[in-house]
Amino acid sequence: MIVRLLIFTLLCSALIVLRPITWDSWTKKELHFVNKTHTTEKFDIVAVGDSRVNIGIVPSVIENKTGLRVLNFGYSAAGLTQDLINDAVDKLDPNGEKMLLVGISPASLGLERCQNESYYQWKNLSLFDRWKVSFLNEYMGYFDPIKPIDFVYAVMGRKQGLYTEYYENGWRSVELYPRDTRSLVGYTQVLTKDPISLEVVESLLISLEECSKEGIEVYAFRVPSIPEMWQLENDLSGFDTLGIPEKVERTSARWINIQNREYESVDASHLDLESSYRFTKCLIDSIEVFRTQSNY
Amino acid sequence: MAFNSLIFLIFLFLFFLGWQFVKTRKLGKWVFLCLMSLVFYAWWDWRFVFLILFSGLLDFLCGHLMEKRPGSRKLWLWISLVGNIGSLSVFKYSYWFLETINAISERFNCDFELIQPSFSIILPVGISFYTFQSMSYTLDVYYRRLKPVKNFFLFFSYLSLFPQLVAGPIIRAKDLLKQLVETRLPSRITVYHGLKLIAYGFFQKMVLADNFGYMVDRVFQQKTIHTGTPMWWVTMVIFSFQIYFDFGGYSLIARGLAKLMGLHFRMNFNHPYTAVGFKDFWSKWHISLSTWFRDYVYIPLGGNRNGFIWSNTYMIITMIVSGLWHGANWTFILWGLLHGLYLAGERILKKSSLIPPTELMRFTGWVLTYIMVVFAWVFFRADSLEMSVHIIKNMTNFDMNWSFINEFFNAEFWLIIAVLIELYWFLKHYSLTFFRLTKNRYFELVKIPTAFAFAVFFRGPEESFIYFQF
Repeated sequence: MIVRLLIFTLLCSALIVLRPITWDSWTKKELHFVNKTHTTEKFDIVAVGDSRVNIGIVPSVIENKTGLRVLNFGYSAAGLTQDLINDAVDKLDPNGEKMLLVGISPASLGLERCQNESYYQWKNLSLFDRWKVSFLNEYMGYFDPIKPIDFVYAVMGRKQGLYTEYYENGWRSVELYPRDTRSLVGYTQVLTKDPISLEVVESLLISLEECSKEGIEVYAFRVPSIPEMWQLENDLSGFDTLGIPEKVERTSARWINIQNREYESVDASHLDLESSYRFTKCLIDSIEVFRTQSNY
Repeated sequence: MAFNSLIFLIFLFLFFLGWQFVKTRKLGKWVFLCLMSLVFYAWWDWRFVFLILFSGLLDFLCGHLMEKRPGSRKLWLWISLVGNIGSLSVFKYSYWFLETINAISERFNCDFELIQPSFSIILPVGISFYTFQSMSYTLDVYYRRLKPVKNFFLFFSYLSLFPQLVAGPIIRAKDLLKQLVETRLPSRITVYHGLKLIAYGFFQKMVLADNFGYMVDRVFQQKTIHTGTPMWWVTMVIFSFQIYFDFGGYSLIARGLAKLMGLHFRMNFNHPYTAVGFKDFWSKWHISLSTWFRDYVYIPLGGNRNGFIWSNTYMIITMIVSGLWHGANWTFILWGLLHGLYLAGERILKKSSLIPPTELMRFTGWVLTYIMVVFAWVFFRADSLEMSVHIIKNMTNFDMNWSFINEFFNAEFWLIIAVLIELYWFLKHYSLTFFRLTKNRYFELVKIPTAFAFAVFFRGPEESFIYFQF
């Protein structure tokens, strides 16, 4: 009996001690998205868009510069629907600065994307699941699933794959080992299957106009990536030729021109950590210049 | 609520807490089982409860009336069949049926379009399972294999028993009703075996099936940049194990839970990929369903009674119906037809005695059986005929591109583990030496906690049980 107990204890201890660190913690991911989707806290600035916004806009950079409360409301594979924009607007403090930053990428204007599977997965969680995530996930990180390849890389002392860190106020940073340009192929498929829909663009413009009428300062911009990605998107989706910046300006929202020359990406789509910081600084600087000129 | 969820754990805790007070009482036990099973079922969607209540009440009354008014037994049977198949048709097949009619009308330029009523769009979880289970009761009463039960709670606890309610196994009334009437308290060894089955079930589902599912879904949804013949063959082999371990895992958990209640469910999967021949395969795959179709479709059609050609015809019809049971799509019908043709072909070969019964032929038969089963799985998994054709083209175009290996390392790793597990079972059952080597009490000790630990730490991305869609 004692020998059996010893064997059992040794096995459990081995599992505890040898367990490698999870690269992409599912429990942290759940907590991150559930918290920001269902937060009752109000903010002065909300940034909304897809994963490029989720990864590219660092709330703390804006907070340090302006002293304002910022929420990153970006979601993977998000489509810019009225529902998403309205939910982002709901997070604004009616007595605060009321600024909405809308990050537009060609993929987020596709009809299929507007099903917003990722967003609704978090929005439509049952009360029980929300409670479970909010109260238990903080302690459940140890039980995050691991893959056999994690052990292989841990033994080899190597990092491989996508590493994600989740932060408060809705931002997450990613790093890919080794970096590659996988998204160029992925986005070729995405934009071919689900091109920009004029219906979605119209709906977005209506949402922006309504926000402007409600006294919300709306700033829209094309989310930066690498030049090759923008070129691919322009070629396949015709983003530039659709005159989206001009259409946005007509809704009384402001279009911020982003220079897509200086940034580095982990996968040809999403900005790396250093680039996210630089881009966010550049964005808030541009907004401040505009506000100064417009006497806000 | 899925078995692999926190809420189910809480439910189970509350169930066994209450079970201690009712397990020795007949009526109390039946009422408790009914209530808890309805709570379990309502958790999916409370609206589904009315459907199962309707099905249960209908068949309970029909069974009762078959005894009270034996002159109209056939009428009550037909009412039961129409009611059950009717509700199945409305909720499961109406969309496909209307879509087919509309496609035909469009093809022939007819100016009408049928609209599906909104209430029939939702597919109640487990409807295929409990309607078949309920029909087996009325059919057995009709054929006088079973006396109708007099207590509605007893009948409904048989029909709605939560371990097997949403994804089987389909339990025959004559097997389970008898057990529910008796007071069966599980011994310590039964509890141990129950926990072992549950641990293995969770391992099969959460570790093997869910990790396989990630690769299969990515390939089928064309979310990978890779392609090539090897990738598609590996994907289909992995899918064959995914569906086996997903469904097999669920059945093991159901059997384990039943054991903890002192009930015995028969084995539903018996290592089907060790089968040599298709008759052997169907005696090992989804046994509760294949025997249901044998007893209630194949034999009533005529079985072996009307000669070789007719028996093969009935076999093919039965398999087509079995395919249709799995889903409302032409691909499922094709899958069933393929298996029907396989079985008929096998009978013809056996009758002709062309194949010598040597070990080499047996091995060849095993390999061929597996390859042909994998080929048939293409139709089962594909969403459409077009997709099936696309996959088969890729499987046969000899594009020897192996670049996918790195991307799906984890699924490939678990495939090796799955094959080793099946090999272990095979050797244990066919080699006395190996059996003696593995009959070790220390090995037994670590099996259950290891299975649970693996289910926690190595679980794949969460996927719902495949057979819930049926």
